[in-house]
Amino acid sequence: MDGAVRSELLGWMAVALVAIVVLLARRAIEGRRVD
Amino acid sequence: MRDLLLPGWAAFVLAAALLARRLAARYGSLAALRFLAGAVVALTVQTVLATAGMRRFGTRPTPVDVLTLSRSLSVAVLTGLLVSGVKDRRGDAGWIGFAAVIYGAIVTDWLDGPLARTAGASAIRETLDWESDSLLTLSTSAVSVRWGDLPPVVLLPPVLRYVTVLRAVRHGRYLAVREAKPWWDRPLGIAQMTLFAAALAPFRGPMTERAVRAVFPAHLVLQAVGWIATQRYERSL
Repeated sequence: MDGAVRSELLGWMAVALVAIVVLLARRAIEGRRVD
Repeated sequence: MRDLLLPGWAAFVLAAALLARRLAARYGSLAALRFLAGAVVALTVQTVLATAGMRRFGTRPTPVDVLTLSRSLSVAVLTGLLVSGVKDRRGDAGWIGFAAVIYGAIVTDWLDGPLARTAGASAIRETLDWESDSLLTLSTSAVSVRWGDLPPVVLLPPVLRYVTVLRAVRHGRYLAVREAKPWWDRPLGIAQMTLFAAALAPFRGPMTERAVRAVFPAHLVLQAVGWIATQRYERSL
């Protein structure tokens, strides 16, 4: 795989990882919610 | 300034100073000083506005409000980078700007809502959230033009938003407009920030560039249709 494409894929995978971690944290927070 | 706002402001200024130090090593003292000046002014203006809002709503900031207000650090970093004169998407400045966008648009924006619903929200939270989102969108659109290679037309939707808000304020309908946001507001906002993030990505290469070029016309059409629909919707409130 071309180096530039690999860097791009790794970059977007890192962004996706941040988004997934934040979504999981969000779900955990909402799970604690008591209405 | 009230309670948590002043320590919050001081912590954000410290963070900006640390980033300025990093920029000084890479781009020189003048660029770093300009960055710090821009960031501190942006932070101070946002904190003063938040303080005035708190006073008006008769409320005090909660820790969740400080998380929402930490988006002001993202806005300040982007403002500072614009003022610094540095244009280096692939270098330190680009990475710092991109991290500021991701922090503001994903970390704080996705967490402060559920935290507020769990830990309790102040009366001004929704307003803080809406306004800090708008400032982040505006500053991100500006840097997307500056070093993301997007045409200046992308500045139009974030600027027009302020025209709409000022009109609502003048007619005493700010809260009504804020509370009755149409369903397309959020998806269009997410699409807009995704395009900006793609344009600003320091690792952007041919694949991302092709994707940005492919979706850009649709983005413009959707933003225009969304803006017209929002005008009609707000007039019907």
